[in-house]
Amino acid sequence: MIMGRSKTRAVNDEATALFSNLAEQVRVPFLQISHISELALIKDDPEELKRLFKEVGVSSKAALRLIEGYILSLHLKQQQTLELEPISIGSVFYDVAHQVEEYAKSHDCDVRLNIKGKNQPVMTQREAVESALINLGYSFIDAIANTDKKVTITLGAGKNRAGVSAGVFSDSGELTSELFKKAKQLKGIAKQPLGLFTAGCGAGVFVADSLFEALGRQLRVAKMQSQKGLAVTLDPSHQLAII
Amino acid sequence: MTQVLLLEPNRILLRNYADFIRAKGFDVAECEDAQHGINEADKKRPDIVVVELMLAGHSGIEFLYEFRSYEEWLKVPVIIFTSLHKGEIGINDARLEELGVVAVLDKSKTSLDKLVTQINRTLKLNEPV
Repeated sequence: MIMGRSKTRAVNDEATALFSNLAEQVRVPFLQISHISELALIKDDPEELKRLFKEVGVSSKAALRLIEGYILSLHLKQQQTLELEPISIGSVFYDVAHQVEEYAKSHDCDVRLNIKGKNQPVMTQREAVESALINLGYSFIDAIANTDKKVTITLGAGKNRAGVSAGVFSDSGELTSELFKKAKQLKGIAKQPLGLFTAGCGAGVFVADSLFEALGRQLRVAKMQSQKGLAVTLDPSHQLAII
Repeated sequence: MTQVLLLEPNRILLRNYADFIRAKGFDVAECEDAQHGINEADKKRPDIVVVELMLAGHSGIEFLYEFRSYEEWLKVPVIIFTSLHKGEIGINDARLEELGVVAVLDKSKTSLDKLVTQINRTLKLNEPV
């Protein structure tokens, strides 16, 4: 009985920490909204005004995706069984790229796809993987350092020994396994658990981590060509092979 | 024109704050991190600094220590414009004063107009007699 209560408490503490971290992240669109009336008054150019409202819309959509991801991770973790399906990781990446494109544009950032070779379909839950990669994408875009060069984030997939690796990569920030491990312990406690990587609270990373955890997968630091990022290995599907 | 050095890590917020401050008659050097802040301070010779404490890599406080280590910037006033609550800043008022911080403003509770009012008030107080 005591064991059961401790387990529940641990799950609740984890959900609370994640929510606390997420709450910090959603401040940004609210800050934009709270200042919008003042900003609108100084904009003479209608195009500038349009850009302002568009940016608020883009930030708000990102915050909504974050909240949706959080709710989905809680929902998946509560389920006794998970329904998995064979999905094409390439098609997921195209959808993810489409979703993060606008956000990337507003941050003067490019999104690139790198889907290596002939990827086998994977057995997973599409909604969760898509949500996780979108939120990872947003976090990586937020983390881009101040630079005169145009920064690129890469949505990358490739075969590895264990299955199909899928993740998000960039040139920005310092991301190490040590930092990521400590950050997971500090989320909800520290304002900047990934301080060397991003100025924000990195909520998208932790929501993605929680979603992959719900799928029985582990998000880890990985490399793709010269870029560093976070990736997960998904099980290949043997039901269907795309030729 | 009076030069404001603005440090804010979020690109969209940085652009918005800079646009507003410029519209009120200031020149603004926009920076997203501490190193860029130091580089821009060297180029633009700011009259006042507005800084968010939560930066990537080095914090706003670390930036201020670095900034204050240069003799030419010893007297430049600083306004902290942050998402952190006062209790979360982790540095006492006396130390903030030593770092030349004249005001700590909470982003959630401060309108942009109020920020500019504080900038104007600070510059007026700092005018040589």
